[in-house]
Amino acid sequence: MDVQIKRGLLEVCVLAALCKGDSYGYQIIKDIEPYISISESTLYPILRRLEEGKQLTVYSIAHNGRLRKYYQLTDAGRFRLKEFSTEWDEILDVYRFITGEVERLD
Amino acid sequence: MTKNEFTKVLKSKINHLPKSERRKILQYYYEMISERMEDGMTEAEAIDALGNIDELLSEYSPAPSEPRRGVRLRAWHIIMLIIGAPLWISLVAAMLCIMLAFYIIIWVLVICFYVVFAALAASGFALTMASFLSFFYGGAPYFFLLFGAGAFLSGLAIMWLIVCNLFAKAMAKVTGKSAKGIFRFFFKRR
Repeated sequence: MDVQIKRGLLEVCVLAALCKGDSYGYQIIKDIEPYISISESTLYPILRRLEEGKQLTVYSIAHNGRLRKYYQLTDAGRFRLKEFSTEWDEILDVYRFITGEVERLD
Repeated sequence: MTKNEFTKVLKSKINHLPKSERRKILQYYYEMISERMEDGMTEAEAIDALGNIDELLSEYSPAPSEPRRGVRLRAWHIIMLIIGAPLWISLVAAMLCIMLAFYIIIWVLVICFYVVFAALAASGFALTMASFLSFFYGGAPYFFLLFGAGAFLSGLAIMWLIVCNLFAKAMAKVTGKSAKGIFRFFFKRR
């Protein structure tokens, strides 16, 4: 998948993974992995960006003698998700246009 | 790769980032390694699964090319040092003088405390001695008066000595700490 498209999609995927409740890094990866390839090294910058954009907040909980960071969706994050699902219709229009033109190529 | 090897590689790659960011990244990777190992992976498998560190670094501005920057800075520093010499030499000298005055004041104060002790002890001793002499010349009342006064002053001197020692210790701590601070400021900044 194109790097730019993937980057945008991953951000929304992480937010979506937090919809059903607060989650931690490894769980987020496990939730997303079936749909789009992601590793710890790609997740970190996404979490950092979303945190800086106040779309999620972070807190720590003790787990097995260490700290586990949990991520929580904020109102801004929820808004972003809703925005994405409405934007998707526009993206589909663009997709139909592109595939239509590609067919003409053949 | 073991966790130690991984840490070494990671640290060398994030070396140019601010300290707080470096700590966050290390904690993040350690948490992820622990999670995967709790999930049944070996350490090596967990580290393999973390993905390419460079992907994480793509978010940050690249590390500045060190040697060029170092040379430029050094030349710039030398020029500034020479041009600013009349200013900074006198400023440093003034600062050192103030520090020296500060130390002298503190230690003169400590000496004053001990001088007071010496005066108390000497007068206590003298009065006690005098009381023995007065026993022969003036009789018992004089002896008791002078001996009492001598004992009182001697006691006061002992108590005062304790105060002196506590004060001197406290001052030694203060001056020692500030001296260490100044030393570090000049010699161990890097």
